Order: sequence, then C-alpha cells, then structure tokens
Amino acid sequence: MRILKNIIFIISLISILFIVTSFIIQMNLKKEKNISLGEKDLSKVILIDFNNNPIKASDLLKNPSVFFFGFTNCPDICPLTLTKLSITLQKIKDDKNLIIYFVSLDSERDKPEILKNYLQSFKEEVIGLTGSEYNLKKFADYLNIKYYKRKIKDSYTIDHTSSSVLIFKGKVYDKILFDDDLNVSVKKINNFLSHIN
Amino acid sequence: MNIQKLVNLLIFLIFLIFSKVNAKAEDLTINVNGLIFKNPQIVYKDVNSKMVAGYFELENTNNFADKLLSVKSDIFNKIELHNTKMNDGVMKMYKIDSGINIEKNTSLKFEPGKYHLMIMGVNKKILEEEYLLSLYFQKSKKIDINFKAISMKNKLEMDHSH
Repeated sequence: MRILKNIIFIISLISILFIVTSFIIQMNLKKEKNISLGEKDLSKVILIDFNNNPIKASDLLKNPSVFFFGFTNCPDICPLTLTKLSITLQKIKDDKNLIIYFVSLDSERDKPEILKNYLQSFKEEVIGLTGSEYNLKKFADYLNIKYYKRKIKDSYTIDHTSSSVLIFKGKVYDKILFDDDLNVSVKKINNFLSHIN
Repeated sequence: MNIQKLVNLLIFLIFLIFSKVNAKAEDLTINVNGLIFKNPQIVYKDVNSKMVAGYFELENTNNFADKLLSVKSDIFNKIELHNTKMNDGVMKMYKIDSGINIEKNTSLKFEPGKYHLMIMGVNKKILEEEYLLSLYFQKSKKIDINFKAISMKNKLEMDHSH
C-alpha cells in the first residue's frame, strides 16, 4: 500500500512538473509571438530624409514599404538591389503606395544631399534616409539588420545585410534576398500586398 | 549509308549550325590563346557613377593553369580584383591582392555578389560603349579586352528576359 502511495505521489509530482513546464514554455512562446515590431518604442528614434526633413522611425513603419540598408560607396550590392527594387515596383500589378526606402548606414559620408544625388537616377522612386550613428543603430537593430564598419587602408567599407525587408504596420512580412531575381521579387511583393489588404 | 541515316545526319548538322548561330547572337565570346572571355561588361548605376563593376566569364581551355594578377586601364584610375562572401545574411566584400587562379579546363564567373572587377575613379560620364581593359595573367601575360558598358537596369532586364 505504501509503495502504491509513493508511486501515485511520484506520478502526481511528475504530472505537476510537466504541466508547470508546459505552461512556462507556452507563456514564453506567446511572449515571443507578441513581440511584433510595432510594440517596441521607436518614437524617439529620428531619421533624416534626403530632403533634410526629420522623420520619426515609428512613422516610417506604418505604410507598406520596402527597406534596404546600405551606403552610397557600395560598389555593386547596393546599386543592383536598388535598381532591382525600382524595376520591380514598375512591374507589380498595384503598388498601393508602396514606398522604397534606402537607409544609409554611413552617417559619416552620406549626408542628405549626397543621398539625394545618388538616388536621383531612380526618379523619386526611392527615398533616402540617414541619421546619427545612434539612431541608425537603433533602427537597424529593430529590423534585425546587421552591419559592421571595416577599415580598409586609408578608408573604410561597411559589411551589411544584403536583403530588403517588406514592412506594414510595424510588422515584417517577407524579405527580398540579394539573389532573388526579378520574377521572385515581383512575386514576393505581390504576395505581400495581397496579404495586407 | 541508307537515306534515313543521311537525313538524320543532315538534321543533326542543321541543328548544330543553328545552335551555334543562336549562341553567337546571345553571347560575345573572345578567345585569346586558349583563354575564352564571355560577355565582358562594365555595369553602371547611372551615367554619373564614380564607381562601376566589371563582370565576365573566363574559361581556360589550355592544359595549364593560369592566374589573373591585375587589371589596368588608361580610362579608369584604379581597378581592383574583388570577391564577395555572404556570412549570416551579411555581404562582405574584400580585395584580392594575390590574384585569382584559373585551373586548366575550368571556367570562372565574375558576377554580382561574387568575383568582380571594382573599377574606381570614373572621371567622366559612362556611355553605352566599349572600354578597353588590360588583363594581366601570370602565364598568358597581357590581354586587352573590350568591355561593353551597360546600365544595371538594362542588365537586370536582359538577364530577366533570358
């Protein structure tokens, strides 16, 4: 009888432990899911657009938009990605005011007027953004964009995430990878736009 | 040889000739002493770009390995051999000082996001014309190749239509 009681006690203990552990895991998963980008406070992060206007980072994430981070001295990844995004925008069925943002991670060299000049060839299809190092870092971290400044001889380059992020109401819907061709990019953007309806 | 076999042979020959013609129409190929350069291009963002990239495909049909050591030009201030590597979604571009090996009977592609020529110090407007670059190899020595300048927009559209 005593043995049976012990067995029941152990089984009960294991069950309680199992329930508590499951509950904790569930809570954590829920918490993880609930961390949508919109809930983090970005209102204090201010970026500067290529017309020298300050913009709250939180306002930037409200509309359907594509964000690509780079720098104007980037030899092929950045111009190719921006060109691809610009062509893609022309090919999609309904742009629904989709905005393409190019965020320069090079606050030292890429002043608003340099960005403006660099993006001129895209005929206002791409909006340039820059800001202080602190604000850029906050914004990039927020969108999980990684970048590292690397010294080369008497200058420097910036290694950075090569994909573009599709965002609406603070939520990341998809990413356009550097390797994605025009077909894939168009498909991803059309898919994104149909989901935000 | 019976007539059927002859007809088959003729069809095969016609097919071969047409496929060669099509290949010629699509790809610009230059063969210099066993080194074949396919579609040498300079790709630019816009006509005022100060920095442009050079792409091509290189095939070594010789039975000896070679090495691309450097690229020079009278038109551009500086040309560097570069490679790009992806690590955890981050693109890292770096200069290659030691040259790029091209083994015998192999080919190597210079393309976006991989090996490329980084052409700096573009002091005048880039036009859709040819620019002469001198490629220096360890064994084949100096080889002059005309690179056709093409806008990124046209290149992406062209790649897309193929």
